[in-house]
Amino acid sequence: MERPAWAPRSIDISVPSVSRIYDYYLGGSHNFEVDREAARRAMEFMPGLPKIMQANRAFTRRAVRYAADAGITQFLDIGSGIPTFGNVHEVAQTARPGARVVYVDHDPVAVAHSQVVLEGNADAAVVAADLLKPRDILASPQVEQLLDLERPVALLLVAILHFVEDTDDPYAAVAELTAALAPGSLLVLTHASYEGIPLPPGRAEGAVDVYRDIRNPLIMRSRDEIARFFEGYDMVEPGLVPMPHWRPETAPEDEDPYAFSGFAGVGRTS
Amino acid sequence: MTAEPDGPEDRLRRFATIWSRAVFPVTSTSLTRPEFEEQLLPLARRLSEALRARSFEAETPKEVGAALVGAHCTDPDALARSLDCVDAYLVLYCGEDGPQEELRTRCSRLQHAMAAGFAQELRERTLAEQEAIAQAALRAQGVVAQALHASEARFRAVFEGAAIGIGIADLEGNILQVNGALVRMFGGGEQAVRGRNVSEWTHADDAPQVWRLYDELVRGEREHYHVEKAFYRPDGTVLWTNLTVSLLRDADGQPQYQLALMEDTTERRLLNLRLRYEATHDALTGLPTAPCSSNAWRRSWPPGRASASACATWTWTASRPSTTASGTRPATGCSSRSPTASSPARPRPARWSPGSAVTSSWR
Ligand SMILES: C[S@@+](CC[C@H](N)C(=O)[O-])C[C@H]1O[C@@H](n2cnc3c(N)ncnc32)[C@H](O)[C@@H]1O
Repeated sequence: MERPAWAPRSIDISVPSVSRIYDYYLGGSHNFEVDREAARRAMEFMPGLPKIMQANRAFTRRAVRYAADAGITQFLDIGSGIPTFGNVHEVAQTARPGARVVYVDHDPVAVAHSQVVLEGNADAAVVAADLLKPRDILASPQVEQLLDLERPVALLLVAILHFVEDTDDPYAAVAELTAALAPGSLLVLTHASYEGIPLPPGRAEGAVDVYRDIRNPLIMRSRDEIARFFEGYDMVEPGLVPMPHWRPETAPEDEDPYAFSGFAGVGRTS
Repeated sequence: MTAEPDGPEDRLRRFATIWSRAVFPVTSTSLTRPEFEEQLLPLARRLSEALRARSFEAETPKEVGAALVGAHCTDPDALARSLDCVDAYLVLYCGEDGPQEELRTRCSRLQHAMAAGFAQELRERTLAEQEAIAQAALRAQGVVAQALHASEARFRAVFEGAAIGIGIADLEGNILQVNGALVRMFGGGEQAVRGRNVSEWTHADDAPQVWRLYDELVRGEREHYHVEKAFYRPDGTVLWTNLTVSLLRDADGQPQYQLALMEDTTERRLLNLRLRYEATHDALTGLPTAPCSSNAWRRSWPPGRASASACATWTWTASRPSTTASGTRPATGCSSRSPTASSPARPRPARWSPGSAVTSSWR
């Protein structure tokens, strides 16, 4: 008999993975030929994809430092992907030694790799779980051990929500997560959008189609739709903006035009 | 560090600034450009010293090339731009007043070594990362395999241990897997069920809708159905079952298998019929006491051993709590008299308690 339908899926590395494609954009080699092939195809339509990812990482870095400066010492990073460089725990623990970081991803390969990278780091751990099942995340031993939910947490949902379709109700998942967080917690978020891409819409759609083809559809949302994730939050200045405009440390004019694709924002619970 | 304007330190910094501006657009670092420049400054210093050192040694420029990879400049363009920059500006900003000809020669050799160091390090890093991700994939596969194994073991335990008969067939009706309870219901011979086709299991008493429901299910038009159905055992006796058949779909929702759960109701059925018979026939003469048809009784009373012995082990016991399901309570049939009232030879008040043959099919 074949695998019962309720058994977990096996790891099929002949299927491209979002986290490994992302690693390729960032110049890493934590990827397989299928991943690179998909990445190259997407880049035929949007050659600047790596620049978007780089801007995304740079924003994350600034946001984590902002959170650390604001006194936050606990980080929950969902959709953390494959650790490469400038990871959240490195930035956070540099800014605040002893800062606690829990990574979450549903890609088993990304999780297995994170485990190796985090070995020996008593203040960081990774959970294999799905954003759409907040209870699995919140009740995980890693979260229970490392995070004190009575105190503020920075919840990072960086470049993940655009992989969740409306039918799976990402708004509800985010609301359930943030409901579990103490007042003063931060929601750190980036999201893909057609707004800001320095290309005619048709071109960008070609890249979006590549993600549909690999069965990881990229859901492009408008600024208003993305702003809805922050309903009930006090937006940290300057609000929901293209990534280079969020508390820049260097002149945004120097950034690659692609870096302005999509939106980034940080909100605070009250 | 305070650098005297246009002093060596100031010139070194200017070189590092130019270098970082040239390379930054092709890096994937999350650092800002000024932070990246800080990473290049010590490398620039080493190049500057190597340029003016008395003798050439390749180790330093090689390490500088490798350090570029360490600063996440993995794009080959980062090397090309670095070398352009060293070629055009190193002697100019860091050569001080040395002999131009020699400095230029030295600068070329530094670049060759830098390129070698970069290539070597990039190769190492690529291999290490490939190794790491392959290992991660393997380990993840192991985790999934383990979960799968546990899930399968659990499934097998439930499947084999179930008292209920379970069978799985494909949509063409080929029986793929049956559990022990099902085999026992059919009399214990594996060949009676394994490898057979569901369509062979017609029975004279099949209700008209039985096969219509079946067809709808395998066509994917129905998720499950529930019927009472009889089967022929290989020895010719009849097996009556409560049969529930469900459609199993794969993760994409495509129909894949049919799952049959069957409960052996042969004894219960015989018992009901027997009670009805007793209720309507005189215990001594065996003649009908009421105008109730007993055709069904005759037709279903098989000569087979299983049913006979099952029947034989049903016993009357006084005031023991019933362990049978409510569905096995004696039916009063078409008679208005209660079954117990018609059997004066037996102890009076009674509850039914199943004998061993009946319960055994549930072990
Ligand atoms: C583009 S990567 C972003 C990585 C990292 N957050 C960053 O911005 O650098 C998106 C990650 O989200 C993960 N992901 C997508 N959907 C998810 C879900 N429903 N639950 C958990 N992780 C998910 C993917 O496996 C992938 O590793």
